[in-house]
Amino acid sequence: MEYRILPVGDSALTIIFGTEIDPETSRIVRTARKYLAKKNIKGVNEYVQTYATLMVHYRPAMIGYDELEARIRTELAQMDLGSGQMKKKTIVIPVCYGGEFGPDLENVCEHAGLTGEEVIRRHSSVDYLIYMLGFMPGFVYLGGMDRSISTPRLKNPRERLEKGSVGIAGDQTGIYPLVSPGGWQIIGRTPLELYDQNREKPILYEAGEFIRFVPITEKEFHAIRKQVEDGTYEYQWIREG
Amino acid sequence: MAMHVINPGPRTTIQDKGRLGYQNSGFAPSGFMDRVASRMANVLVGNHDSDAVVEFCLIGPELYFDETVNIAVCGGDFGIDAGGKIYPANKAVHVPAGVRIKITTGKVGIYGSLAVGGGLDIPMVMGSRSTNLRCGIGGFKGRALMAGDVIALRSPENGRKDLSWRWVPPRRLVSPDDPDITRVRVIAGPQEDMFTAEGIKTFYESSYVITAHSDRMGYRLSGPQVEAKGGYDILSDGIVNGSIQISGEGQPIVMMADRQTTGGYAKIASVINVDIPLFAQLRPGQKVKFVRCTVQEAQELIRKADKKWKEHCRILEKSAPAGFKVLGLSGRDGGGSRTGWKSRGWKRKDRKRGGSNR
Repeated sequence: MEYRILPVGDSALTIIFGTEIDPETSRIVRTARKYLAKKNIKGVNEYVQTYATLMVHYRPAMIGYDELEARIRTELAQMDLGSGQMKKKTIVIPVCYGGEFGPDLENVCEHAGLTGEEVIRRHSSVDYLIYMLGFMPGFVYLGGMDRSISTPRLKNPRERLEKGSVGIAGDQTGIYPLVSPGGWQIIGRTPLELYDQNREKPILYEAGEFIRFVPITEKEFHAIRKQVEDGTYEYQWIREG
Repeated sequence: MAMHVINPGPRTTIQDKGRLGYQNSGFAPSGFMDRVASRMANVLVGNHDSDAVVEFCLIGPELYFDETVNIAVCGGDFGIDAGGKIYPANKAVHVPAGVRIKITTGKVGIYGSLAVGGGLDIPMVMGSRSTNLRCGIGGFKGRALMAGDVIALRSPENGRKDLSWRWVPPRRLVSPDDPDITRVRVIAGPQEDMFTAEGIKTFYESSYVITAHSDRMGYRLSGPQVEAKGGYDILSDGIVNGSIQISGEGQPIVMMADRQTTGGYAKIASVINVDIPLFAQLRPGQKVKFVRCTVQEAQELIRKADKKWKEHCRILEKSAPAGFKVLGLSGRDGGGSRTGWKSRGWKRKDRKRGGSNR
């Protein structure tokens, strides 16, 4: 495992594990994040995982850059990458595709030359790896979409996308956890509350986990929505390996 | 026991030390734009230094309290107009119930922090009272303050006794050597290697103007184009407070409190911690020049600033009436200002400057 460490200002550093988007690099970053977090290094506030880097935010009054860099090198030298073969953890995200919730499904069908059913089948038959979160709280950068349903962004972005909107932009797919403007082709919506400030984990998922979209009907959407609002909905996780 | 907002000013929000620990989920920490000012305002009115303040941008709020309180404003060159009496910034002001408070705006600085003795009674969201406007969470109902808002106050640990003897000398916001250009120290990287030698030279030898497209998310600067070897795009990685991205047009954007947690533009450098509060106080039209500094030097400056901060609190404590406890010694990072303080006690002329014009 090769990596570089560089300062990012005086209160953070970055550990660079690669320069490409690929599942193996992502796995190493995640393993390092989990491993270092367990070490409770004095002065470290938080770890932020991105595609190929791990950012470490720290308090320089408690630990200086040189000391922290040395400590991280020592720790990473002892890290067993094999033990990082964590169980695959997938969250099930029910999505009502098309119609009012997915106004751009037709655009995607037209662009891909496929029927609506086929687009939905291809979109919901993959477990998407969460490479990172960013841009806004809970916004996921996912890998693994079937390129046959890739569609360019809308020419005129919408001023308001409802929270839970599921969309496609180029080769990417993702979900809007909060109301936002955006230019993604919206193909459906999930009734789940992806962000809840009162939950122990305000954002349900984290980098390195997977997302599976499961098609539901409009009736099911409203039924699940009601359960979510009542606090009785049980989030479904699939654990493998 | 509440603060009543008559007129909020254009961009007034509640902020504290920030929402830490959720960046991996995509939450910007938010928090004080000028950490030094906010801590000082808090300590002047007897609060903990990390308590929530009312932060305003250029134009302050108009408000009143339904009970007698101590307030203080720090940050830019602001003043407090309490029922027609004008008080300077950097001083506790004892305000009787019902008196109308206005903020006067001077010539330098853009952010002001108004602290209220006892603190604002606002629920914590994920460990912080800071407003995150983008997500609509924290602060007062997740939004900027509006006319008619009534914000409850906590009861002060020091009671509501008159604290108007408490003042600090004003901080110097412009350089004495060159008032037109502010020197801002930065640490190179992490993507300095994406820029040409010429581009890097341009970045450090030119001055850049703060544009009007600047807010709590970031300050957009304008000046000579910083040349990259190839493009300006990188595989998205982490961003810190003070990260300097170079946009597709070759112009610097300095990321501030409400920044995104990750981004896809190359970052040529980051503003050092002790210079961020002063940088944050620059108005559109003002110029900056970036100066290289090492991470070790920057961290030494933080330690010095911390030591100074503790000293200031001790001085305040010494001048306090018997039995008065000065809060604010929680020892957070990089708090002190880099200029404007004497190391031991303050001189008579400072006292005049800092005192009220009763």
